[in-house]
Amino acid sequence: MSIPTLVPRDLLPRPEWTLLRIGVGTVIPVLVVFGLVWQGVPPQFTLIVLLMIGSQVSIALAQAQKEMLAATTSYFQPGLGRRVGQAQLFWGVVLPAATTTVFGLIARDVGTAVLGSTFGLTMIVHALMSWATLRLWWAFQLPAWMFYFFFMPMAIRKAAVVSGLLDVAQRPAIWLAIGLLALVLLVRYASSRNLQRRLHDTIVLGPEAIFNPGRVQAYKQRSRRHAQVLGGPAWRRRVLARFIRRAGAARRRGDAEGARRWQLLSANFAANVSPRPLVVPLLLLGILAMTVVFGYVQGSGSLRGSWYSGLVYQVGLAPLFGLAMMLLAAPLDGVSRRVGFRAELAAILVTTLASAVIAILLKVFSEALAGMLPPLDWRGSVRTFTPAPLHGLWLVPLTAPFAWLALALRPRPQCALPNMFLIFGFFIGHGLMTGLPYVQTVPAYAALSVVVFAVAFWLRRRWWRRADLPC
Amino acid sequence: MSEQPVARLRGVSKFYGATRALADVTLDIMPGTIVGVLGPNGSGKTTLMGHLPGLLVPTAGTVETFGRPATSLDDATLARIGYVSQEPRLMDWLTVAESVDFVRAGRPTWDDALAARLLADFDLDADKRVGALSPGLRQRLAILLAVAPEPDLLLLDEPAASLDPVARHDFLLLLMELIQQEGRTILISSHVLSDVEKVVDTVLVINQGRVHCHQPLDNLREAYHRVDLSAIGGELPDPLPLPGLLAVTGDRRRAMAVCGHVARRDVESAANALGADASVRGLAFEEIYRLIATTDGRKV
Repeated sequence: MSIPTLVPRDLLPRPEWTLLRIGVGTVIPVLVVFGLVWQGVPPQFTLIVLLMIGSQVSIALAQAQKEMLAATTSYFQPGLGRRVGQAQLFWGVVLPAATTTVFGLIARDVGTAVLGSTFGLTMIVHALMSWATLRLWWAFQLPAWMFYFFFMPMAIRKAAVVSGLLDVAQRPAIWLAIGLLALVLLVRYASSRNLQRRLHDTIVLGPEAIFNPGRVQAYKQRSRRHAQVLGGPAWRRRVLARFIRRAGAARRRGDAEGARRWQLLSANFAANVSPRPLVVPLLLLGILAMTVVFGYVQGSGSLRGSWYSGLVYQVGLAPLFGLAMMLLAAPLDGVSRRVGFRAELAAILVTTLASAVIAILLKVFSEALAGMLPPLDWRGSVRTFTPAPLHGLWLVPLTAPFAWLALALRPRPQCALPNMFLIFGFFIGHGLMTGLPYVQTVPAYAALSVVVFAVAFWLRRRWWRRADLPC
Repeated sequence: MSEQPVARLRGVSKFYGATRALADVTLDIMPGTIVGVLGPNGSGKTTLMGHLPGLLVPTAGTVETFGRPATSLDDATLARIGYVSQEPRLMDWLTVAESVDFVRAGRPTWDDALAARLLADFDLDADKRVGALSPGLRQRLAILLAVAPEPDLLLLDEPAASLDPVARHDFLLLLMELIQQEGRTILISSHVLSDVEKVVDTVLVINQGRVHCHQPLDNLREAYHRVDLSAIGGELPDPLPLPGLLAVTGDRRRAMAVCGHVARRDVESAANALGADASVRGLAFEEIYRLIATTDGRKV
């Protein structure tokens, strides 16, 4: 492999965007590094933050290369795969070198063994993040997900888990060997024809797609063009068939509102539940992992209340994601304005109810785990699993009106506003209920939710009165 | 020694989950042929074309391109292939000129003069960012990038779908020019049969993943006939005793029949023997295509 053949276009295929993405992904960790140095916090925390910065850079670089490989002409471009592999090798050496240098400058007395381990660890992080970005279609979410892992060490900063990190880092040979192996595997993967074949002519989603559900939808439509919308596992087919049967039955008995309601719910279900048989089991596994990890992280008692263990309630918002798609993208023909609005209201209520049921199931599941999972003792630090807090049970349904309000403010099927309102509403509500007594926060949040619902109700009813229906 | 096919497919099937896109396809694409790949939406045209450069891996069967397994073509062989998809993905962050430079850098056979001429003919502004181009201009750029390296095998999957009539006309002229260069093989799929008819010499009709017909266009034209019959002083026999009779419309006084897979002189002599006023003529390409596409898998 000849490094001199590398050109800037291969190393940094989309310079402006890549630098912007790196900037957005690293601004908080960089500030935290300054804060840690200022406060004289032990160097292991600096190392974690530097690894976080490295991972954000790796993701942004791999993302740009992925976009380049996805172009129609790239598959036929001689040597492009090899050049992408070379670029990965280049960054796989330069990034660890930069991280190690910065760490050495900040923590001057950690010793060469730890610095060697830092080099190896950064190689591992780079290889893992780059591979995940190139391999996973949903890798555009990785920069956001990384922050969960980033803040966790902060939550357990007093625990021996982190303070023991430098002990582990006393064996540089192991980390360097693993890092080298990971880098070789990454270069092999990045150069492979299989990757080019997989990416050829596909829509590649960047981190900005989080705020662009239209692009995500376009990706899904394209990737599922060979899949049957009503297909998938037997249980999915049965649920969809049931919804459609109910819509048909309502239509036959002259219940236009019921028909429309079931039509909306079936559209929402089909859009939210993937027909791929492995997706739902994998998501359930993810929820299990999230509940366990966040439960034990919370066990440190370093944060007030139950911030981490309550994050699992985000899953309860799932039926509400894509609300605008459900309510606005479905065909409106044959629906009067009055029926349309009433069916929308009913669909919102049913979806909110579904969210509340999921929140209850999460709470029950979390309590069951609390009864089963033993305390963990690692290096003298005992960590007890903390179940999800109670407030998720009402926080999730009370957040639903925020999405409806966003939809009312900007009634466009592919607008990201409803999802953003949901996420911010949840985090603000969760933060308040975690940090302040329920007696103050719950009535306030409930009152706000009712006001939001009333405004959304008024706006949507007005919209239905004035909207142009398709002819 | 007989000529080696550019692409050889043997028993190729392709499934996407439970959906069958290709079913036991066996065919040879000979060098220098201009093949029109025709079929309704979802018939398997794109899937078939995707197998030739190894973009798709067959579920069953084998595909060889330029004598090598299509899924393991080397760089040099891939550089001999040009490909335009229905919705080409381009590097939106580059300018048109940078996109041209990017592809040009890896293609030793790049024709600068042709690229410059196409830039002008297609009204492409070299300094404009690709992301800012309209869908039609993007398609033109994709065609330029596929054609300018002078590939031996050119795969055009609905290349004119988003072109306006003038650009489509220019594109057809370009195709005709490319066809003049001997040895070049072109596969083109399109729904605009009048366009296809002007440029192809071989027709490949595919439906529900099965090949219904793979024949030279001239052979097809010679194999299908329309017979207009008017009874003289009596009635036409029922059924009409015509060879290769495929369809009849009309009544016992006047009828129009379609005959296939039979020589014109045989049809003419059978029609004349009826004692009626008979005229035999060839079918329009569009009518031939409709007949083939609706024969439900019967080989023509």
